[in-house]
Amino acid sequence: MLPLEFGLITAMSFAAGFVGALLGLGGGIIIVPALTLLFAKDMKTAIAASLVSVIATSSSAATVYVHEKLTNIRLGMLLEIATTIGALVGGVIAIYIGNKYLYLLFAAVMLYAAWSMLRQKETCMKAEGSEESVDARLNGEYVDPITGRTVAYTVKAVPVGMAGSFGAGVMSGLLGVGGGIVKVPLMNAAMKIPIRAAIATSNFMIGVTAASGALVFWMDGKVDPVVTAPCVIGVLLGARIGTIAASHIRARALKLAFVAFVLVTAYQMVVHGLRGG
Amino acid sequence: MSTTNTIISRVLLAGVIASLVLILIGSIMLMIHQSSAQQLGPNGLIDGIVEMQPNSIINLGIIVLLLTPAARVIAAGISFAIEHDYRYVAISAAVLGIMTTAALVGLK
Repeated sequence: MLPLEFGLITAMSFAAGFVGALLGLGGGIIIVPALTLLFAKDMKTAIAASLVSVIATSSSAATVYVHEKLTNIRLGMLLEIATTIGALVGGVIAIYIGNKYLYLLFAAVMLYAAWSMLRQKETCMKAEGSEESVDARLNGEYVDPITGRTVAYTVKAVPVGMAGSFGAGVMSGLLGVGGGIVKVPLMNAAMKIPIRAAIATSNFMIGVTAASGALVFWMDGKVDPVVTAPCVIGVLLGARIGTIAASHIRARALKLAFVAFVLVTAYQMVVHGLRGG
Repeated sequence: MSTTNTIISRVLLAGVIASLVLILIGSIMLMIHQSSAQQLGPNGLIDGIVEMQPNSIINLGIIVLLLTPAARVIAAGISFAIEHDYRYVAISAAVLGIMTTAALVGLK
């Protein structure tokens, strides 16, 4: 193995984890294009390495969210039925589909991520009074770490949440991303879950989802340890430091830089895809 | 309630730390030995770990990471059972079943 390449992939993944933590994205949306375009790795190797890294960052962040009781564990596990089936389906499609389509789909998901980031406002849903939840045990409450207030909420539109979670799972297994960009807005807007609980619960589901996808790839022999090891090391450290740095750095300029990165990278992915992957 | 949170949090932390340590040690050994690495099947993995091969140690680290979410699902299932919440025991079992299916589907 080339120590230089190992070092460079670690550095790239560190940056992906760091920026991801600041922007509220997983590292996957940066790791996959970097591995394919910069390091000339096979698309499926890149997706597999990214999925394993996503398990690492999600599990690491979940230790904090779960401990602080921001995560709605019951709701997360219910929706995981949909995300894991989705990831299984996505992983199988990824293995049989041509790389060409994976490049094109990835470019589309990147553009969606950039668009949803630009559109994003501080949508903090207030808990509403009406009792419409299908299962009272799904309702949650948490103590807001900033205001110190207890926020109680009623979970709504569970079938919509299940359907969206299935879609997010397919995306995860197919492209090696976490799928938080789909789940967080869905849980916040449709299911009326306050944003902090939505982020924590989405993150909670991502570990199990990515593991289902990664298991498909691992059993198929697509997990290259030389590529995966530096990704995991880099992204874990990057995400940890990024989370600490998040309160000291203004995300505005970074968001615009990310949008620029997406436009350039998505174009390259499309060109690569049209050439046949 | 809070015991569920504590157990899940600890299982995840233990899994992440164990896999990171294994992957780090394996990678450093790989650098020193200048050897190559590839994905291993169960038989090669066990032999390699006994012989302390860098490749096998990295592979083991990755497997620990792959199984960490599954361990978390099992831990949640057990704590739901202690609370006599059998509906969520069933949900945990379903998630675990789907993960197992995912592994079997990948196997050609």
